[in-house]
Amino acid sequence: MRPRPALRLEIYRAVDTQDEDLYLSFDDEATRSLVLADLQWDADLA
Amino acid sequence: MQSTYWNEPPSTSYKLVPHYSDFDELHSALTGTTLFVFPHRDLLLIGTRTYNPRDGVLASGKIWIGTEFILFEGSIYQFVYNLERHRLFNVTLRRWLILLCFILPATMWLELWRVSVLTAVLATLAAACILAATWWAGKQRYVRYEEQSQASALFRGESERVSRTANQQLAGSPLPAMSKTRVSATGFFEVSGLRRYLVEAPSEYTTFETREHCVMTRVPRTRFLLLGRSRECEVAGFTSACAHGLPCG
Repeated sequence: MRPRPALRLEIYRAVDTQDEDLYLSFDDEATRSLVLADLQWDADLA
Repeated sequence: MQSTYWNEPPSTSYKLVPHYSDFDELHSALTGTTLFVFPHRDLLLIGTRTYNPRDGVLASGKIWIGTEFILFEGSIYQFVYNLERHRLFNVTLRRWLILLCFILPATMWLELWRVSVLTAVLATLAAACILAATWWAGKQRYVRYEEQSQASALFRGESERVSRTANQQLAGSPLPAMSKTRVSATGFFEVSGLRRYLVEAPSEYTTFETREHCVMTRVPRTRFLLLGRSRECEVAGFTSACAHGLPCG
C-alpha cells in the first residue's frame, strides 16, 4: 500500500457514548480537497 | 416488487430495492421508507458515517489531514487484515496462522518433526515475528495515519474555533447534492445490527440535499490465498435509514 492523501473525521454518535474515527483516503489531492471543502462548508465552527 | 429477504426475519416497513445500481435509487429508498434490501450477493454497508451539521455532530477542529499506509508496514497491515476478513472452516485465517506459529515450532522442538536445531531456532524466530506482526497490525487497526503539520495547526483543538464565514472562504465551494465521490474508507460500518470494521473499503462519499453526509461501501464476497472466503452472512443485508440520522418518512 502506498501512502495516500487522507482525512480523519471524528464522528460524534448521539445514540452511543463512544465517538469513533473514520478515515477517508483518496487517489489524489484534488479529490481530498473537494471532500474537505464539502465538509468544511457545513462545519459550523462559530 | 418481490418481498424476498436474506438473513433476517421480516419486519415492518421493509422495502425491497431490486437492483442496487444507482446511488439516487438508494437515497430514494432511504428517504422513502425505512429499510431496504439488496438482492445480489454483495452487502452494502451504510455506516454510522452520517452527521447533521445543524445538530453540531461534526465537531470543529476534528478533521485532520494526513497520509496513511507506509509502504512496508501498510503491506503487512493489509495482509493481516485480509487474514482477519477471510475464514477457513469458519475460523479466520489469522487464527489459523497463529495456531500454525505455535504448532510448527512445537513439533520441531518435541522432535515430532526432526530438523536441525538451527532450523528449529529460525522457525521459532520466524513464528515469533509473525505473531508480533499480527498482534501489532490488530492493535493499530490495520491503519497508519500521519497528520500533516499544517492541517494539524489549522484544525487542532476545539479551542481554535473559526467563524463559519471564514471557514467557508477557506473551504471553497461544497459538492453538489447527491454527487458521488469515490473514496476509500476505514472505520466501523453497520447494517441492520451487523457491525464491521472495514479498512480501505472502496466507498462512495455523498452529501444529501439536507447537507447530511454519508459514506457507503459495498462488501463483495471475496477469497484470499485460495483458502479463505469472506463470511456468507456479510453478503446480503438490510439497513436502516433511521439509525443513521437520515430523514425517515
